Amino acid sequence: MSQSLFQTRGLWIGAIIIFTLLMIALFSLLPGMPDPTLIRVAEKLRSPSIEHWLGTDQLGRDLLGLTMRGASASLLVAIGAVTLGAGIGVPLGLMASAHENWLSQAIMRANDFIFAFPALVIAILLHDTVGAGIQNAILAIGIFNIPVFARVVFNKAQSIWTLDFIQAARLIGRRDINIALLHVLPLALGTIIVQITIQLGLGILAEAGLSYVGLGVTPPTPSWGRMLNEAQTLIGLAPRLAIVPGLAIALAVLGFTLLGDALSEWVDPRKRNGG
Amino acid sequence: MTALLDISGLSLTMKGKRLLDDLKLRLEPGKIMGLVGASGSGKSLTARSIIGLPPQGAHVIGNVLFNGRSLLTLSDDELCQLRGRDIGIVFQDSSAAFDPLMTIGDHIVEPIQVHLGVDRSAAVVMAKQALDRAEFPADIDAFRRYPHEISGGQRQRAMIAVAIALSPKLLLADEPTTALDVTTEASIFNLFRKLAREEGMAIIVVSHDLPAIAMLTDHIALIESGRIVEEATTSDLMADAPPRLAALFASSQPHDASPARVDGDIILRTNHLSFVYRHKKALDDVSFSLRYGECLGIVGQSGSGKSTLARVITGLATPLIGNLEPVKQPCRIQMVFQDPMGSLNPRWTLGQSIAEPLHSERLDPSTKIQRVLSALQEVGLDADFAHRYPHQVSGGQAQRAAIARAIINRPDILVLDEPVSALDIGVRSQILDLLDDLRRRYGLAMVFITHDLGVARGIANHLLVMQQGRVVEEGATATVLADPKHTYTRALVEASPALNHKVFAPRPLEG
Repeated sequence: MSQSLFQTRGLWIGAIIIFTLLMIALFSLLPGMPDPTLIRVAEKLRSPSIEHWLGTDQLGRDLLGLTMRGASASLLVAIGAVTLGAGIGVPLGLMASAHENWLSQAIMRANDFIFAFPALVIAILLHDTVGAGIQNAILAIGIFNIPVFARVVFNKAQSIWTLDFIQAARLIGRRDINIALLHVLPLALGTIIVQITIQLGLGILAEAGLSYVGLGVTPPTPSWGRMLNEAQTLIGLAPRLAIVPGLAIALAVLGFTLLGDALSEWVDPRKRNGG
Repeated sequence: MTALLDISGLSLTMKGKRLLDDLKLRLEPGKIMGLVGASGSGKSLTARSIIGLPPQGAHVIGNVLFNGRSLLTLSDDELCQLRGRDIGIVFQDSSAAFDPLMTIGDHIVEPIQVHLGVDRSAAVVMAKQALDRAEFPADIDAFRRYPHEISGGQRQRAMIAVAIALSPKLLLADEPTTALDVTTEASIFNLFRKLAREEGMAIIVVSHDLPAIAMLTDHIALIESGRIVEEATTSDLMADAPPRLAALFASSQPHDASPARVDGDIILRTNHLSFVYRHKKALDDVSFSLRYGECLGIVGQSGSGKSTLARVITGLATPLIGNLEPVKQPCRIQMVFQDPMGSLNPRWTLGQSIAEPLHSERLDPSTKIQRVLSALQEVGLDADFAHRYPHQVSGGQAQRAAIARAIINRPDILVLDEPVSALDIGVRSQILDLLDDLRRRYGLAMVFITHDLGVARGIANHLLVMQQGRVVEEGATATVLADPKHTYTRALVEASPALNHKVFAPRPLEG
């Protein structure tokens, strides 16, 4: 079982990308690191050099430093949003799957309702009520993650609830909550882990999108999305200002996607290679 | 007569293991051969090797002469021409053998067009003939129906129609009736006999159910760990069965006589139970009483409502009308399910599963372990099984563990839903003996649900025959089986191989 998991090339590539990303984010936050938000207008739009490996932007900030610090914002938002989404969505889905009744109906229809709103609309709503900021982005993307986790868990758990050993557990007087925690959740865990990696990738993308339109991380905190936005007008003059954060976003999403795909093959025995 | 199929020295090795060892078989046109063995004995592997579809990584040597041609030396293209045209194949699981997006009719038309290159209208005519020959119900339009829209028995006929559409010389059937109930099985066997007699088709039937296919075949070969250990013509079997086949027969026949009627006190009474499922009456006015130390057999075909009754008795479902009247309060009811693997959490050790019913009692760990060990002992498993996971044990051992879980809390009533039908024939009788032993030792009341009258005869004191949610006949097991009153019971008795076999003509019943 584990053998086929670690033989998957995608898993390794994904894991290496994500690990590097995490290290870069942590490294950029170390106290001794130069502050990438320092503005030195005199050094604006410098080409790559020994001093500035990737050059500087229109305000003379170091592009490499900005991109590295941007990783921490992206990961923070993605991880925060997934924690929120899974933390609420998983219990809801589990609860709804136990019995077919008004409660399960209410939970799943409320999920449909949230699903109907794109994260962007939720972000605008939050922006107007609580203002922009990193919490705003986490909340907007996190709310959007709730129905995703609720549905995935609901579908998986529903098929587990019908199994004979669940009936046996009911017959010996186990309460539903205990059955859910002891039998159903552990068996659904693989599916949940896969969904977490997928949602982390989407979370990075969503954060970039929100920051791009000015609904995410506020200046001066560096963010890949806002870097793209600011590079827009300079695309002819200094294309690297757009290419570098763009590549960073693409790589991060690719890393999580590869990881998620490899894990889902491992979780789903039908996709697993026999022998 | 020259042989249609002549196999000699057929061996198959895979990953260094010899799975088939020097097999020798001969089959003449118009004859039916049974290939019998426990699961894992290599009987399906033999069938797959004959048609050139051994599993990946298998190395096959030997000689397979079919109609004078050596099959093992043919190229893939030549084999493809042979399969479907000269050799027809019928699988066990008819639901997996059909493409859910194609109609039944299209499944039959496809091989005809592939092999004969005729246009569709000609192929449709041939397909309809094939459906007729397979006795597929004429009132079902096969070209409008999809696989999920017809019953399992009808699907099996449709698969036979696919296999015989081009009048192959050889028909390979791998456990063709295992998933079907006895009356359907009997009619499929009749069809096979007709094909052999009227079309001169040679048929190989792979099965683990010796009594069933002994009714069908001319010749039986017993396979054990990849070797043919015994062979006998069916007529020889009647007169003088070789030792292992005789033993297999005996083990598939757990008890010759039914246990006598028990006169204990009543423990559970049900009054006019009715239950509606998907707008159909799954239970219709079912009343019976169960006594201490009694095994009540509930028999009927699939869809007769017997599993619904099990769910109502255990309280997993609430009846629409009627009630359960347990004499003792509280009345502890436990259940054993059909699929032993599905009834155990795959991530838990057997010990954890067996201990689960103890969750509400505050026991210290050592008492808990003691209880689990004694439960294991009662079901005939060693102590080290407590640490194994379901996938590390056999089906029979898993079912023993499931029984241990059901009895660890000393229930008053044990409901068993087809507890042996997923098990190999040899293991069945052991499990039935175990259950019978538990019943006698603890005066346990049991409700035993089965579609197999042969199984019910060996274990039930009292029988309830169900059809479409209703009880059509009831009485002491021996009486009901010896002299069935209702036409439905009579049909079940007649179709049950274990009850009718000439070798096993039931001995005079006691009492």
